[in-house]
Amino acid sequence: MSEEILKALTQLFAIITKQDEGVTDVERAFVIDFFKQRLSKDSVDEYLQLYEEFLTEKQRKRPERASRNKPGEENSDRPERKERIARSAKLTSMKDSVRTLAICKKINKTLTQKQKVIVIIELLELVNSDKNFTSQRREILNTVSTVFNIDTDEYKVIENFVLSETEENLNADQVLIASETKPEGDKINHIPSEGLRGSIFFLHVKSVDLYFAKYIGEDELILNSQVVYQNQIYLYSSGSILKPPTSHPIYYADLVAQYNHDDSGSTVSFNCKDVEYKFSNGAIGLRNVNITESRGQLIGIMGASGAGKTTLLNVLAGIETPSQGEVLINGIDIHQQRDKIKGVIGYIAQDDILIEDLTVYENLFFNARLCFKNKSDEALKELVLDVLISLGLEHIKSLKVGNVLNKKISGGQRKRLNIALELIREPAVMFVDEPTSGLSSRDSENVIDLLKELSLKGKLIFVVIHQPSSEIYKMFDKMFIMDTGGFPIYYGSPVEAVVHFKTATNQINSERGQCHECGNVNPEQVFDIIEARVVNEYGQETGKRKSTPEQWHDLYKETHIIKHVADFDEAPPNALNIPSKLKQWLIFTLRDIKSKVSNKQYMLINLLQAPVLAFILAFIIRYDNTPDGKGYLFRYNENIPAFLLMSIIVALFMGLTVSAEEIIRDRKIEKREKFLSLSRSSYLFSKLGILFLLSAIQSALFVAVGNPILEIQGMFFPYWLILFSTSCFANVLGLNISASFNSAVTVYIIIPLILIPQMILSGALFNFEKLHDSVAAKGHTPIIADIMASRWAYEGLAVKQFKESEYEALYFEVDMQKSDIHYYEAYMIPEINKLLNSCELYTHQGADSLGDKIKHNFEYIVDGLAQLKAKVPYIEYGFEIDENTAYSIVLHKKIKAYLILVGGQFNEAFNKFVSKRDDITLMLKQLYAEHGKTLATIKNETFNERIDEVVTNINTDHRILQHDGKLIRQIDPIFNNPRPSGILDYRSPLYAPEKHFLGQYMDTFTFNALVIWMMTLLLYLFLYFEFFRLFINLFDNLKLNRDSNS
Amino acid sequence: MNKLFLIPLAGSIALFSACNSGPKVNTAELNEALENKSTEEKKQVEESIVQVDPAEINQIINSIPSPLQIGFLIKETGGEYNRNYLNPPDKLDQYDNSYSKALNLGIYGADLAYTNIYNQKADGGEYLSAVRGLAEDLSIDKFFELSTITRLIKNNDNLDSLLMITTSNFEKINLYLQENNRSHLSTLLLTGGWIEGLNLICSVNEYNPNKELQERIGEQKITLDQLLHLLSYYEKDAKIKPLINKLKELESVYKGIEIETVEGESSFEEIDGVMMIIDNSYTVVRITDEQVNEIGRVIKEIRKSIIN
Repeated sequence: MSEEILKALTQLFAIITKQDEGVTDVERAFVIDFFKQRLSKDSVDEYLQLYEEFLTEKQRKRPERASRNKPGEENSDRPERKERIARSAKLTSMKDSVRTLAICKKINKTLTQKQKVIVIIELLELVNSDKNFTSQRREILNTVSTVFNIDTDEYKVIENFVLSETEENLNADQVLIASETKPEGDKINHIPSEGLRGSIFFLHVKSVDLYFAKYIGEDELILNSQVVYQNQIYLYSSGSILKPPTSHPIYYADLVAQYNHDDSGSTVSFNCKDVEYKFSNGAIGLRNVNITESRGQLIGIMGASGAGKTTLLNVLAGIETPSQGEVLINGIDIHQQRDKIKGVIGYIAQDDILIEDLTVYENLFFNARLCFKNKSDEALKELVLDVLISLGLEHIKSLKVGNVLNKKISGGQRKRLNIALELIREPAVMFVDEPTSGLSSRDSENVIDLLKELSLKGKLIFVVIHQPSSEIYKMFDKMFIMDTGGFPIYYGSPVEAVVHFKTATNQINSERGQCHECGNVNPEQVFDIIEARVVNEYGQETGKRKSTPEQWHDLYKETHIIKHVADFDEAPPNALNIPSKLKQWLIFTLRDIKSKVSNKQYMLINLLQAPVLAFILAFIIRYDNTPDGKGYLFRYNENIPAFLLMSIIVALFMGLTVSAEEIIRDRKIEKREKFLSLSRSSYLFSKLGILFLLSAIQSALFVAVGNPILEIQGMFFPYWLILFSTSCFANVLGLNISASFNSAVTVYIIIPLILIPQMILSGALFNFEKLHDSVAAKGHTPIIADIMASRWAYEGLAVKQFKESEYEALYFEVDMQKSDIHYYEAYMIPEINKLLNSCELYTHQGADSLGDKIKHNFEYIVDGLAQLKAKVPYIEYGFEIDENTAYSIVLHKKIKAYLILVGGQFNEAFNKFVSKRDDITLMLKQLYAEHGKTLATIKNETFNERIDEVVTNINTDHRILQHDGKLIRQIDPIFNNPRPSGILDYRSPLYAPEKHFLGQYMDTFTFNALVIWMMTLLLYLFLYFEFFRLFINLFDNLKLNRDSNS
Repeated sequence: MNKLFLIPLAGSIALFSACNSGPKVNTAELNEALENKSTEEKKQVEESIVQVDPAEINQIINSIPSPLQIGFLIKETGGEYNRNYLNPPDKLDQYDNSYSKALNLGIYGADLAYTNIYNQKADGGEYLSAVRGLAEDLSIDKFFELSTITRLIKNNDNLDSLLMITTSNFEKINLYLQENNRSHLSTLLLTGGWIEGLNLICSVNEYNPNKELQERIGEQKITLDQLLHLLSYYEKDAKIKPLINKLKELESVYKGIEIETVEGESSFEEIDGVMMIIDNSYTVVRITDEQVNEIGRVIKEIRKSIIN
């Protein structure tokens, strides 16, 4: 209570007690008591002094009246005296009213309505302390109540509640009486309390939603561990428990339930019949479990560690399917008919399922959004706030949740918030796994109080509980105790459990479940008995237990006869109304964005790393490279191909790291969302959406910084597209990893395992022609490289950079024609000639062993001729040839003649293209001159020599290669369109200008970008079907089996 | 935070748009220009392509002193290595059509030989890449395969094989070009090499007059005649015509120079135990200093018109 209220109260006390005959001893005692209850000893004296000062102040002002007013005078029947007193009373009343008004107005400014109600009750109590309720005092109190804006009717009820000592006058909705027998009165609410001497009165002040209690009787009641005084008014705050010594305790929730008469909560029957559960390795986790419950129960599940408590909870909640038996809610098998039971069950895992970067409020809000399709934002906001208030979390609602290491809110608050996530949708049956683990005893009690309250509202709640305190233990309606190996060994009242096991082991006082003096139960005792060990002759405990789990279970079977409750027919209440997938996606996305944006470190690093890396990379590889060594020209930068590779690696790396932890971090939340049957694809798409957006921004930043530094012109969009695509690929790959492995550490170890092959097989570092035979594919990129996104990205960029640079774009067509002709003319025909000549030589030598060589050579000749034929189909061979044709001198001459003919054609064509190229140059010079530029500048600015070298493969030793019966073109892959062998043949040499698939030719850049997206799509499907996870599980199982075999 | 998001984004968009501004020649524009080019001119070019007898060319090639021989000559006469005599190797970009490329390939080839003779590895590398660059553009780079080049550089202590490889390379190129109806390029290549060689001798002689060099300058009268004969086949080619005219100007300077061959008796001589026939004939070249200077001036002019 604040100083201000106390001062105001002290003043009001003084005014009221001053009325009529002045302060009585009883009243003074009340005031002293009041202070003593609320203040430290020093402060009591201080306020008492203040009280006295206020009193004397008034007395000084009315000395006359004070001298005349004597006790008993009031009852005088002399009229004139009466009149005088009345007059003076009126006068004082007037003065005091004014004074009261002033104080009350002051109070109005500082106190909430709730506090004001408490003040008025204190004042009434003060008056009531001496039963001195005169009209003047009444008038002042009336004034106060009016100024306080308390409804007149309500004030009347409050007044009655405080003043009366019997059931009379209390016939009102707001009042509830707990007593042995129901008092008369149609409006009176009653809680039957056997063995309670006297009555407990409860008052509900509806306007402010406060509950008050007072007790009249001889028993010593305990309210929240404090002794209750007779006829004193107590605020019955949320979570309060009033404990009569011989009767049932009265919980706050009991009261709320009674007042609200909310019987709309439908009935629920819960039957678990003969359930057995086997683990995947065949071990039995649960056996012969029978549970039957209906609404409004709080059931504890206890057992030694490893007894199968959590397993039982999972089976009961429908997460794990039992190998035998069934679990029915209202007759519906929760494992077989999941759809019908959707939303009925709430499950609160032991794990924290909070999103650390969101606030308490946001956590709950987004969760609620996902559970209620039809509620408006306003309604949800209200609901969330209500829940937060009822859990006492309102004051921390805008705090970030943080994580266990970086604590922002306490463990108890976390737990309560976790429970709130489920609580908010009020499922009929709830399962809670160890809600008190790691909490202080005070927090633990709060959490269990909360669950108890819920059960009193009609929920059926199962709680796995570990080492509960006596207080908590007794709060449960029933206890289900298990022993190692999944054996049920007790099911019934918690206190009786102690009796059960004590009796079984013939202990003293076995009939006493709890301490008579303090009412404490020691649940530890139960486990001490269950797990008691045989002692050897030296008094040391052996590893052997006195009673095995089987023996306890046998006893259980003898003593427990479970009669299943009848299954209700009606459908259980569905507390879940999931929004559409699109809506879910939106909520997930919003939630994720909120959480990410609020993590400043994360945002900053993710947004800065791309430009910083781009700057470092580009800055370092920009050097003075003009022929005279002064200045920089893009054309002569030898590092451009390496820059392309590094950009791609950066994109891959950023994409992987940003996504690799995503799902691991969310795994617990995902498990819960699966439980709520939320859409996995919505979830995954929300992840993808955000990651892709991030990738798009990162790639744009990277290119925006890197390209200008290296003076790469007009390539922003192509670079961005490829890097963005690669990054998206890496995102999905990262999500796959994240979804497949169990720890973040594993994930980060995996990253190099993915990145390094991407580097090796990108085509930029190692020449595809110079790889191990089992890997290399002559004339094509190796298959193993084709599954690398880096290779497609790198090729796409290199080809684009060459083919569509402003300079080369103008020549590309003619260069391609020229190069093609030149290949046939300068390499193919001479090669065939060479082969023919050696065939001739071998024939002359005539040795048998050379026959194979001739055949071998001829294979190449046939292939070469076929290639020529394809190029110039209008020139006839003039001879028949196929794979089976044998070499002969006649054929030799005919082929030579053909080659000369074709060669002549090629020469002519080639010269034409050469002169065409010269013409183009001439034209370009003129055209650029008109634009005020020179062709040389354009070349310097947009053409890169190193890229040119790479894509034309000019440094190769073998410009034409004999391999496996085929003559393979090695020179100028950039001008070499693929020759598909079939409709599905997509393969081509690295840097081919176009790609083929399904009979269509497509620009390499576009094709490669599409390939990367196809790979991304494929990975998404893997992700959706958890392909990698299944694969890894398979691997794990194999290993496990081998272990168990050995 | 949200604003932080936007700044780099906006920046990159601005950059993106900035990158794509400025005038640009597109392919459509180019094609239009190409079509406008008179078809007549094309026809003329096609007509100008003539078939030259390979045997004739071969004969001429053999009679033209290879750039290497000129290099040796200069070195023997005591000339110091001077890079200023050579065509700077960074001018590749200026040669933008096949004609000037072929001519300059000849020039760079001679320069390469010169650097090689003086064992100037660093300069040699630069000329090698210049030669290679032009060869690439002319699609004859297969004669400069990496392995060949490596061999060339490795062998520079062994002058005989250097001579062999270089000459055989240029011979191969000539042969190849002729076989492929591009004898005009082969002729230009030869001419370029010859011009650079003559220019080198003249330049060296200018600073350090030497009788032997002057005689060699005079001797080139014969080669020039042959070259002009070869070039006359391409007189109709508008791109070759100016070169022919310039060389004719040089020919007129050479007119006053007399070359006389003095026949001598052949004699036998035993060298390393093998009998050899020694040809004792020699030539006498009558050339004045003025003529040498005039030749030097004209050849410089011709060369200048080629390399710039």
